[in-house]
Amino acid sequence: MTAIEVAGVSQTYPGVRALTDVSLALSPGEVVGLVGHNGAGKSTLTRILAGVERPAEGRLLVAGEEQSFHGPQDAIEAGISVVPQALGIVPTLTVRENIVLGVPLQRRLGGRSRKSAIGRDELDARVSTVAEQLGIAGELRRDGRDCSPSVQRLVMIARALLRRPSVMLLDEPTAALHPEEAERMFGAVEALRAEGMALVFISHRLDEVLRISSRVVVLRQGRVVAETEPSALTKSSLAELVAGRELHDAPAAAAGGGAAHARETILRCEGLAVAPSVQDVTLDVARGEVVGIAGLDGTGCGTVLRAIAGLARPAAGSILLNGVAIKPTRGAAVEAGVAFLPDDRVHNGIVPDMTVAATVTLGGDREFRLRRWLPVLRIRREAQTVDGLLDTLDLHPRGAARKRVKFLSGGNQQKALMARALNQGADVYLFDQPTEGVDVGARQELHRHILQLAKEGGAVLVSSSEPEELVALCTRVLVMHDGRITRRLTGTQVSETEIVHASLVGAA
Amino acid sequence: MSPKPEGSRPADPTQSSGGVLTEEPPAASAAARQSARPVGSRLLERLIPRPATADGGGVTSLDRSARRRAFVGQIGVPLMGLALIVVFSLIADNFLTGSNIKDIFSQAALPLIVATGLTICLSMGEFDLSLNGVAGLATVLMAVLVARKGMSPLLAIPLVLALGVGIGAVNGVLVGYFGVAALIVTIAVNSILQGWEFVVSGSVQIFGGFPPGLVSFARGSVLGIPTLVLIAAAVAWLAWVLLERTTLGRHLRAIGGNAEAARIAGVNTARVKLAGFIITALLASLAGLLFAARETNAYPLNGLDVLLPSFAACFIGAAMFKIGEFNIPGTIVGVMIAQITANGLILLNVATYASYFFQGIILLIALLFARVVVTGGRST
Repeated sequence: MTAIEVAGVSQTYPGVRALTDVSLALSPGEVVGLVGHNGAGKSTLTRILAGVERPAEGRLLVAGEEQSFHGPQDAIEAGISVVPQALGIVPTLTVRENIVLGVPLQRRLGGRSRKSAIGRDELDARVSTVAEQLGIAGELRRDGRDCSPSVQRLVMIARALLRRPSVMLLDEPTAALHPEEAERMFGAVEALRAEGMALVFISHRLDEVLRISSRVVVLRQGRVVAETEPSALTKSSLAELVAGRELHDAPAAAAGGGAAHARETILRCEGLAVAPSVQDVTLDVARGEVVGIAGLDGTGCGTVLRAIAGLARPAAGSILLNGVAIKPTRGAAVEAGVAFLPDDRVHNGIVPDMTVAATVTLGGDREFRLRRWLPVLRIRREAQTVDGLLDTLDLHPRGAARKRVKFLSGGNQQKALMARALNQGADVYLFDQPTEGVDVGARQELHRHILQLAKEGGAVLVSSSEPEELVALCTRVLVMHDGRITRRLTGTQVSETEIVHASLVGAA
Repeated sequence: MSPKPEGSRPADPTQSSGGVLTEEPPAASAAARQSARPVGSRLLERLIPRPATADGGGVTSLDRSARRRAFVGQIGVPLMGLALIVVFSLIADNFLTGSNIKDIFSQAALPLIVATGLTICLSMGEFDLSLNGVAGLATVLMAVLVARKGMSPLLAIPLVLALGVGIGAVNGVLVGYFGVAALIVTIAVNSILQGWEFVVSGSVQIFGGFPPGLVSFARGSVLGIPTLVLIAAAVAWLAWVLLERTTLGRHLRAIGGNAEAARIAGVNTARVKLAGFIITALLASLAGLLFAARETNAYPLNGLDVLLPSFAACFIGAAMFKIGEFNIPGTIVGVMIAQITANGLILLNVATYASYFFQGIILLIALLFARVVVTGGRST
């Protein structure tokens, strides 16, 4: 009998069909590897199983009986636990304290306890069982901060295990773990499986999925496109399933043809290494060119951009702008003409209470000063200039310069940050996730403006987790894997499937 | 408060799928509001204009209840100030007299100079708890230099101000360049400075021997306005220009609003913090030396007690004018409320200890209003 089963589940968000007719059954004692690229529907499926969302169509069966979850609590009561990717461990508490964090205890002095409360003896017994199972019995007294990353992950699993679930969903349990650390995680997963738990192992690391799973389920564009034994797959064939249509050998003709017209290299990085993960990155970007940089989360694409922008100090290698090395500070990089549009606009981009004009001129308001030596600003002239810049970026409605930037839409905030780059008169434009959280219309506009920047002689480097975006923008795409550039795609090689495949597989 | 910018995040799908019983669509409810609206909310509309979203229409960032809270908070502090004036003028018949009003302003001058400096420090998201130490040491040093050593005030004043700059630089370097928490740095520096007051003064009270020119300057008036009030007004005006109209002010506020975004934009955050701490300490030392000149005596740990009133004034001020941001006009109102309270209680012959008691309560109420405006009443 299955522990949990979804049958014919579909889910729609406004404008997006996230899942289409997905069926998946989990039996006790098996590990199902769930793979798929960003946006394939893994998270949606996870949220449905965790009771966070209800599917628009389809049925949910727990132990053979149809049920509907009205919230996460229902899923927990049905024995389903989700261990999220983010670490929720408190560094100053011991491992044991971290495991029992939030468990309702029975009151000692007779007061009314919650229904789900556990007695102290019972809790002790459960903690030691769980710690045995996961192989962390020896570390219960250690402080959270002294634990290796794998133990920290295991603590999160242990916390979930205290509720005695029958189904566990592990979201990227080995992300950012070293091979030997991951090994420990596999041991724990195997032990849980042997005791009859049903596990879902969600991961981008294909070789791990192939190794640990008893069944592999591939999602693509919201559909199950494959469900097979791992023995029937190779890493490469699995990557093809994830990426979509079969890959042919890279068309060699398109590559290397270059040098037809004079390339004026503006930005060049040689053997760049940045802690913690980026190694030996060499790249160049020429005038008028849009180069993409792709890779899974945490491979270091953003770190490369931040290093070039002067925000992360390189451990080795050099960054040359028009052949001249720049000092690794943000101030020096701005002076040298490196514009950087950060990812996560809310945390890194805007100061919410500032006016749009101040946002645009922040870090480059020299031309608006009353005198060179007197940094009092002529705000009327500033507002006029900024409105002019915003006009060239088609920011509507016009005359937004004096509004506070927090009242702009996400797309317009991004345009304001772009106007800052224009105002600084940069040679090099670095875009980190340029259309993150922006609606479709604004996204197309931003793309148009990025291409325009290149046409006007800028050298543009774009990092994006969406292959589609890179295909729309770039003539070349560098694919990173584990902190290194492992593929360089040019010409017709620049396609979504190639980018996805290369970022999953690494060096071919 | 901090309304989320519209569309800054991908729409949370969990809300759309679960929300079967959502409220009426925003467009419809907005129309309904237009028709049946109480008189009070029209005033609210004028005081807190509905922010127009840049996409033209759409959902506004401040919903109705947040706007009502903002309204209550925003008029709360001025109303309280007005209530204080009415109550004091009713029960103390010498409250609303020309000389008493002049008195209130005179008494407010030095606290305002310190609070102005603190506003600059707070607007960059930092603290300065060494204000009492800086002002106290400036008072004692000024007294020693002019009254005991007979130094000319024209020499002593720059010297004392230079000391203020030095102290601010220590705070600023430790916080800005070494990244030590301002809370603990400035407490430690305060302790050092208060110890120093005893060293400088030799632990004895200094009185008499002040140059008459200095004293008559500090106690005098120009065109009927006390000189100290004029100085405080000039300081406040300069600080307003600094914060609202200069590059440094922009950078200070950018760091206070989002330090990481400021750094990414190319702001040298360490240097700006250094500048901010220097200005704060400079103004505290200015207030301290003027205090010595006006009082013509100085004793360690018996100088201006400005720490709590300055913080209170700044936080009350953050609830007015530019809501949620520390700003100079707001700070001025905050200082005046504290001074009116103190003055009124003295006129009522309230014992000093009881006066502390009432001042504390009135400050807490004002701060509560301020908090409601800034956070929308959420406790976290």
